[in-house]
Amino acid sequence: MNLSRQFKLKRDQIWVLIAKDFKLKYNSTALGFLWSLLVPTLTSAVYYFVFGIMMRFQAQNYLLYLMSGTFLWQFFANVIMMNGAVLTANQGLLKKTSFDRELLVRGTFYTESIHFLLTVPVLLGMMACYKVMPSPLLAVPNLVVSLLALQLLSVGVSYFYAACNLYFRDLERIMGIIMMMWMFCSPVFIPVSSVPEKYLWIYNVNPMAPILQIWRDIFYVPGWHPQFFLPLLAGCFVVFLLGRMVFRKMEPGFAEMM
Amino acid sequence: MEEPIIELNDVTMKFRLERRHYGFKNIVLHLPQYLKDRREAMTYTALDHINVKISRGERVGLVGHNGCGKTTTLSIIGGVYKRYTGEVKVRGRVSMMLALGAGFSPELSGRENIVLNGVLQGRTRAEMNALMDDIIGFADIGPFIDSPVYTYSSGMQARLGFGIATAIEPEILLVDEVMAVGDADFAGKCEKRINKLLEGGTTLILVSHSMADIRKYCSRVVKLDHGRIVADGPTEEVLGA
Repeated sequence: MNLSRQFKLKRDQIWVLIAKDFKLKYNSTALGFLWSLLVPTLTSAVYYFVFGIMMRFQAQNYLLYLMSGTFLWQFFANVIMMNGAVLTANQGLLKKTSFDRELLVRGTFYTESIHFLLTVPVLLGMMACYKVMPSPLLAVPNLVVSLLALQLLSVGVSYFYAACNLYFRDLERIMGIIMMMWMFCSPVFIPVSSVPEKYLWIYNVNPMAPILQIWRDIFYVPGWHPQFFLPLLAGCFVVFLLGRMVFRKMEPGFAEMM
Repeated sequence: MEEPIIELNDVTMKFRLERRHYGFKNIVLHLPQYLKDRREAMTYTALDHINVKISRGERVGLVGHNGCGKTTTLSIIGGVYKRYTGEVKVRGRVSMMLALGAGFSPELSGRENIVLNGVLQGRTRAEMNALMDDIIGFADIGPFIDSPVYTYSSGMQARLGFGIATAIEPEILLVDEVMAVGDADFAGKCEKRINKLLEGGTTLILVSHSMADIRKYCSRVVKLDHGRIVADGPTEEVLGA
């Protein structure tokens, strides 16, 4: 088989997997697509009530801070959590066809990306309300770096999680707790200024902190932190490679485990 | 002489037998028993040093009692099972029909599953859309083609699956016991369709308990027993014995 056909085939395989995910996800729901907007928006509203009104976190335009953080975090967390069950959910396909299993994990990322992209107009609307104007010149590299890092990180963790979860189902519960801890250790709704200085190191080792920072350089307060770019991308790339290595190592045994 | 299209050299496949599943609590409470079970962890040898060479265009029937390794053999040739020892060489595009509803997503419609299944078996979307009418015509399940596959009877699933597996013009067609569920009309259509493929040089491996089907399609029969080949030769020689 020649290379261009190989490429076309991979593309089509990802495409049919995404199309299937979409149809299944909103099958027999009344609001359908609208949920990809409603869930992050309503979550932000709950956080705003708890952290903005009851706990009175101090940050300028706190609602915008919260929404920009929550939308991106939910995207990240959804990719990982959805991938925990991606192999068992596709058992029928795995046991009877021999397509490249990595496509399932990557497919989940693309499906979630589409849901996520739908929420971006909501963010832009909020920015307009707060009269925040991003500088387009800086927004482009910020956007590319933050989303590329998020892709490498979430897919890398997903490879590891999807493969190991098949052998060790307890991981699903453990992962739920880990993701919750990870969220509280990331600047999703807690402004960095509210974090006690002795705990700031957590943000320095957590790749989601710079990703959220760069993301907010577009959607919250226009800014520019190019010093993060290289170490962040390098770190996320390492996670991606490690995850894929584990996945490939375990992949030959998948069909027998189901 | 041309290289065989399928070659299994000394292939052994073992499955681990799960006797009892130990959670953490049981490991702690029943440590001696747990260690004993682990030590004696049993494996089931599904295939035991299998050697087969199949040439291009051959029609091979795979027979034997339940659990003798027929489906495992097909799964290895189809690239689903990969943890075997020995060497497997497959030199052609494979299309599999390993079970009813195999490779379908039950929530999707028949039409959507045609594309899904075909693309995952190595055909592009454009190619599958071009084959769509032919497959729907063969399956002949009327308005059901736009209903979710979980609403299908087993006969309908077999029609659709068989339609896809044969439409994508495989060089190697692996069929596992799926024609049995169809009615006479379906059996007749299958025969025509398979014969057309065979004339085109497709290699067929058919697993069946129906000796009539085996006699109809296969010129060679491989008989398995407990993971070993006990007979391999011309159909009448093996079945007649």
